[in-house]
Amino acid sequence: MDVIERPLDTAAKRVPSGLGLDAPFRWLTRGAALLVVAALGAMLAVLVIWSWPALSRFGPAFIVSGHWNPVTEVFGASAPIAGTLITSAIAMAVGAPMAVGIAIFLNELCPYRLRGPLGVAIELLAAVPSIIYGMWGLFVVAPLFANHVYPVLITWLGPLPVVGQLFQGPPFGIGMLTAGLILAVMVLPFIASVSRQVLASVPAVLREAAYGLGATKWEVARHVLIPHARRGLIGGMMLGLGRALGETMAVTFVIGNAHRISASLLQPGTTISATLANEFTEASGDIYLSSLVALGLILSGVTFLVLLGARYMLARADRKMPT
Amino acid sequence: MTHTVTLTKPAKVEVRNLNFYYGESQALKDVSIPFQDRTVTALIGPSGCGKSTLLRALNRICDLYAGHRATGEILLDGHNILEEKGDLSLLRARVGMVFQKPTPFPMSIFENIAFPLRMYRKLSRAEIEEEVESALRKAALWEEVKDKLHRSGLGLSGGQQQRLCIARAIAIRPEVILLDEPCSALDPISTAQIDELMWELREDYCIVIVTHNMQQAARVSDYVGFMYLGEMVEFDTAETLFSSPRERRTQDYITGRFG
Repeated sequence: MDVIERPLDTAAKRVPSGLGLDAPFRWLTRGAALLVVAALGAMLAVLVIWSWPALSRFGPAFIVSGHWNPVTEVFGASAPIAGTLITSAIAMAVGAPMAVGIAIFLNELCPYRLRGPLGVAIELLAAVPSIIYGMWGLFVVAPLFANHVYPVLITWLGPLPVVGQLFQGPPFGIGMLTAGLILAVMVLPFIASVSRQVLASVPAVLREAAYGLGATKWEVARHVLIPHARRGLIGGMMLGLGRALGETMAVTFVIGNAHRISASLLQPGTTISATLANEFTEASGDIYLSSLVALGLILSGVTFLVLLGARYMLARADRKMPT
Repeated sequence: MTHTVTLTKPAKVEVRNLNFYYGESQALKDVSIPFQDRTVTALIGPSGCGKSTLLRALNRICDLYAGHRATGEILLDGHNILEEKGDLSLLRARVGMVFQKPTPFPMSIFENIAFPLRMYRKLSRAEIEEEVESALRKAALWEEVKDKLHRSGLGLSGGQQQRLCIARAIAIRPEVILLDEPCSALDPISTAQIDELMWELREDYCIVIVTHNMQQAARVSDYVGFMYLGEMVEFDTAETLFSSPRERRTQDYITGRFG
């Protein structure tokens, strides 16, 4: 067998010019990564330490009780927790189906010329600062709802058994429903944008196979695209939910900031982030401040769980995507 | 072409002077070819010659994408489908398609066939079960899946998935079946099963198959069209085309000198 001649000399003589830079580069990038972890850890530590006085004093009652009284320094967080969950639920119930609908429209039904501009318009919604949503909600949506929407809901849905409970009381225009609907508009672009990507990742052959059988656009979307992309869609919704749970400014403007749990969606309530925004500046006592921090800890926990769920579902969607 | 090929049956689909464009680039140049009813016609040629494009024009699946356009005529029972406006689902129900990669839908084996069935006809549960069984039997898959009809279609082997797709295509009783390299992702045994299946299906349907596999084309087809660079170079009976091709390019291709 012949010996294969290799130009060994060239490789051997090569001077590794970047060799000395590798170690500093590694430390630089490693440092950047560690900084994030350190910041997260520090924040969590501060939340836990600062909230400890309130949590140890009130115990489980902090979460269960709805009694929030800065004067007597007795704090229970069930009203803001409930408010956070209810407004987010309304936002998801309204926003998620609309967002998926928008995504299907843009990917499947929309004329090609309009896809780009409309897609950008939807994503621009995400670029609007939340304070603008808050002002729009307070000055435009709330009066509109107070004068035209809430009275109708109260008149027509109020008398119904069971469901009627949700539509009681005077039509303030601000309250859980308004906050939930504003949130729905705010989460819309996030969910729509993720949904578009997920739906676009459905293999072209699968779409073609469905259309090739003579399926209509609705049948393809309902029976092929959505089932195939469902896990990714849920992941997108979770990201939207994460935003809805944590949104502060817009909600603070329109929720009414009342520490009570009301069965009616038309009445003022509060959310965790709205409570924090409103009360931090006036928190006088140690236990008051500690209670607010404890609220922050609870919110972080809930949001963290939601994001974790989203990552898990997105990972599953990637793995389950059949070839 | 001066040479005329005698057809034994009337053409189910007649392509006349078809030009096809992907945006600026022309993929088909003045292509004419008849597809007889109850006959298997194979389209062969090197990659990029336009055979899949031709196939995809026949049920206008290419309309799903922007910038794809065709001129000329594709006559299905004498009616030009390129002039079809509006809803194409009825056309696609008449002209079924099976793709290179098996494409079972993300649902059970049973639902994969029941879903397209329900799109066209109001059937009772019992009737649907009957139709599903009959389609699976025709596709020679029934014996292998009858005990797991409600499991996901994605759990089947590649060959089984492809036969499921064929069952799905024939369940809605099309008139024409288009197969785009149906066996390129399959092992020899599955390929043989599909070949056999095509032999049976030609009793009832007009079948058009695109294939890279010359042996397969010779085995299953009655007529063959050889395409090169977007042109229909030669069309003849399988026997004539493979034994004594008229064109030099055809001969070079089938003897493996290029492509």
